[in-house]
Amino acid sequence: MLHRFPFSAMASPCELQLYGDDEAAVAEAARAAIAEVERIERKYSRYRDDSVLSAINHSAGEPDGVAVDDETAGLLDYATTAFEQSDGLFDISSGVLREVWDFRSGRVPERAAVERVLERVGWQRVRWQDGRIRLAPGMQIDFGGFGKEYAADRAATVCHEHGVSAGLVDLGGDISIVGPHPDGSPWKVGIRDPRARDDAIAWIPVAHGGVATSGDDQRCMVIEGRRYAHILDPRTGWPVSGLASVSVVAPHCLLAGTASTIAMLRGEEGADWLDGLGLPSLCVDTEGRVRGARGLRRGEGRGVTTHA
Amino acid sequence: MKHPKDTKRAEGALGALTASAMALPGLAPAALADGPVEETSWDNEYSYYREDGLRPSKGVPGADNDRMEIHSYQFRVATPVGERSDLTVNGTYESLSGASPWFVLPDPVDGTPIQVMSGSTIDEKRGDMLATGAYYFDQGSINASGGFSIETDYYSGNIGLGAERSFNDKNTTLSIGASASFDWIRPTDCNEFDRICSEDKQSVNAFAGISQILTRHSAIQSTLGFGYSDGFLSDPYKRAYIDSIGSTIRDSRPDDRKQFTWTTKYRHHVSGFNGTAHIDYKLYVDDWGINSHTLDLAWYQSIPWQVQIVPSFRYYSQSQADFYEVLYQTPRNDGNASSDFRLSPYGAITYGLKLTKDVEDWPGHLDWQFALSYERYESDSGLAFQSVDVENPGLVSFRIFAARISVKF
Repeated sequence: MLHRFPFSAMASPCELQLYGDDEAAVAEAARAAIAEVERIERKYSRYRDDSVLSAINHSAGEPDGVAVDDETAGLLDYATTAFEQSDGLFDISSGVLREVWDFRSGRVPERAAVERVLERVGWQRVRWQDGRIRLAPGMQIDFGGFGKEYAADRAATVCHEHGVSAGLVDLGGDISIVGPHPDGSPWKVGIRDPRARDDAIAWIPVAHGGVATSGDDQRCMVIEGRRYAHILDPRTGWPVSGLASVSVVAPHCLLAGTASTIAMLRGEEGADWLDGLGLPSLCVDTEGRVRGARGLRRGEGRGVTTHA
Repeated sequence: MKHPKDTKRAEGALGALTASAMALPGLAPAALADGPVEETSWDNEYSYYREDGLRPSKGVPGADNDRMEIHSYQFRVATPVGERSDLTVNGTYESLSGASPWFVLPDPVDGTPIQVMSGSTIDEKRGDMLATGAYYFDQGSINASGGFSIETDYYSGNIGLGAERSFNDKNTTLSIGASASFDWIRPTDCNEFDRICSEDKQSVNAFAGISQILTRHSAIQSTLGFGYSDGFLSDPYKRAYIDSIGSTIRDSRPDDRKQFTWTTKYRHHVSGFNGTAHIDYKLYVDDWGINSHTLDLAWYQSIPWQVQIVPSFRYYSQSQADFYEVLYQTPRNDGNASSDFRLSPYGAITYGLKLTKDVEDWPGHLDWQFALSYERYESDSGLAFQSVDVENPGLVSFRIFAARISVKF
């Protein structure tokens, strides 16, 4: 039978949906999975001074940098690969651009201010080798681009380790599948229409792996009549236009999240690029049109988790 | 509007990101890889095996030189059973026809060995079935199997047990296993052709292996195997020529055999090319005096449209059995005699090409895989490591075409 465990983490509504006959065992699995999500949140929070991430950022400018543990090293390696494979679009050092871009205000910063911040952006300026990371003065990194997706995958693994083989982990719309429904049928993950928040415009059958979505219509801004997504190109310091939301299904939520982020950053070409990846995906452009839909089905789904 | 270059780059990106994600400690894949199969799959393969005809200079002048051909259908069904176990059933049905080497005679003119074939008398069916059940723990698995094989003149049954245990965050896996088989041999026309009419043999095999993930792009596996056979190990359909008596006698081999193997397999993923190199080496030694080396090279290249191309190459070289001779001057004191080309010194090369195409979610919302392959095998005494004085005239070359359809439910 299906048990649901709603909770809140990483500034998002979250939920575990786990199948199991032994209620106590399922509850224990859920407790351990939620603890794992909270552990990752604490470890990589930008807002906690005692986090590993803060220790790295505080070390910016120090010649020896800081040594990191295996898990962090693995994530930094992953970030390096994503940076290389995206031609520099996926960049965990781009967060400082938020100092000049305030999307809520709708105001566009001075070009000169953007240029100044850009001098502190660029993973190629970070020295990451032999287990030590050295940030140039003024630089910062954050794991906002993949921390939640990684946590979803880890939580799903913890559920597995506790004997749960059917269920899913949903961290604010980033979904990692523990396993298909007990009868073997896939979960049907709905993709919400960015223009009509309560309606799914399509759904994706997902038995394994993960689903992640980048972009959100609420975070679009209009500059000089053109709609921009709330996502910044680390190479120009400027928002990207073209796509409002991208959802991707991949063997892991982490991969899905990275692919959807890179597709967003590629703007108009993002849908074609995703097509080349061969992953089921759905792109919605800033005018609300579906631009690329691969491996998607329309219609009613069972066990729907609708997120966009 | 598609940019082929972008498509290619994107596929490479997925490979690189996947490899990088796999390297993260404790991310799902390692934990899942060792589990039971998660969906029912059904593989079907048809293959056509055809041996080259005996070269005219190697056979009896004017005789039919055709050799064997085999049409073979194989299937494999794997299905999860409950949450922690799975069941796999493999089966084969094949039809064999043609001729096989019978004995070697000296050419009446110059004394060189010439191969006498059985004549195209073989027309047989063979069926086999093997069922394996496995149960998975968090850190390992155990499996048990049982199977049989039936031909007109040959019946065989086998059982096996195995276990796997992983360590070191599943980066290291130890495997052990043992099996036993019981074979009954009932040659056809045993009275007409001076053959044994009923014999049997028993074999036991055991192996222990270790596999180690070396880096995020490479892994190695090394396995030691031991086999022991006891009983009738000769070939009832072959004979050996003894010059001093001017006639042939039954093929006769020792009644036990110990075999050792050491196999090492290395896999290396090259993300820049989106391909994986497979490099395998096998050393084989037995107490009949045969030792052999096999080097297998294959490159698994992924290209767009979910197509994979696999060119492969294999080199093989073996030394002869101590008691083997292509032609005997006098009978051996121990009574052994065999001129079987499979006990002779020779080398062989195999080259092959396989194409696979994945089609997901079609038709019937199922995942399909289609494969076509071709393999060419050529053996020759000149390919052996060591120099060979007299080549066995029965050495075989063949080709195999195969087509496979697999579906996951």
